[in-house]
Amino acid sequence: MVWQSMIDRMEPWRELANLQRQMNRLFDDYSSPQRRAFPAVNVYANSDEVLVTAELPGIKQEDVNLSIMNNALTLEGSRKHDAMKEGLSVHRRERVSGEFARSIELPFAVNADKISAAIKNGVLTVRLPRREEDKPKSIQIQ
Amino acid sequence: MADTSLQKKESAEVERVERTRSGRTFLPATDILENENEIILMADMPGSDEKSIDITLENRQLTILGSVSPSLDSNMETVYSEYEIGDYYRAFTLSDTIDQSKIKASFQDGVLTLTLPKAEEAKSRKISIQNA
Repeated sequence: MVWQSMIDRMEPWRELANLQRQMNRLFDDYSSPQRRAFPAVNVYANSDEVLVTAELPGIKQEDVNLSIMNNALTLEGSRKHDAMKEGLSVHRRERVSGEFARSIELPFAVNADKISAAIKNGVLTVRLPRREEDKPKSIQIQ
Repeated sequence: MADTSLQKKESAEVERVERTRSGRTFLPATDILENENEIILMADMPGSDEKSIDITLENRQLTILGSVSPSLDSNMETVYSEYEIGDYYRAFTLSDTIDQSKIKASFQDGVLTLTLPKAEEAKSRKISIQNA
């Protein structure tokens, strides 16, 4: 019993899945160029909805456009550097600026009328509920 | 690897000090600008908020630490991932010319802005030549 509860706590499969993801990412760094795209995007899902998050520091709500077409979510916009004040010289310029556009394919059909999006502390979160008719249904055997 | 600047860089500096929190730590992308009166430092720290950012100044070392807690529902599974969520850490050494008592900080939309005014005596002065 003690062992069982320890194993439960350690969640070995989740750990293993995390490890696998990290390994994949390690190799992705060398192989796939689109990983360098701005902004970086994460996609999460359960059986009812998809959650797309993107790191967009310094970008206000009105500077991002979201659209959905053919099961793909597109986010586009631009990030401007703060206006250069007179006599200001640049020592370091690491922050990305300019126009950006990304399309993310969604794992299932979503209800476009019920999408909600918010930006908080530079993180965009888009919540896309799954379309009713797309949800898995259990079928009764008669 | 010229274009790696677009990705989150993991902070190496923090490894020298043992941390009490687990998880990864990233270097925030930073712009540093200067004019004759001040140095302006802007760091991208998405996911942090003004309460979780710690700025310390000790022995001319300016340290920025932003903690980020993942706020994801546990029933969500990761489908695709391009970035990881973790804390931010970066340290800069300031020169003596900064008036350390007048440093100002603000945080908006995931960007930390620090204004470091130059000390009065350090400002360069234009010297005019007077002919005798």
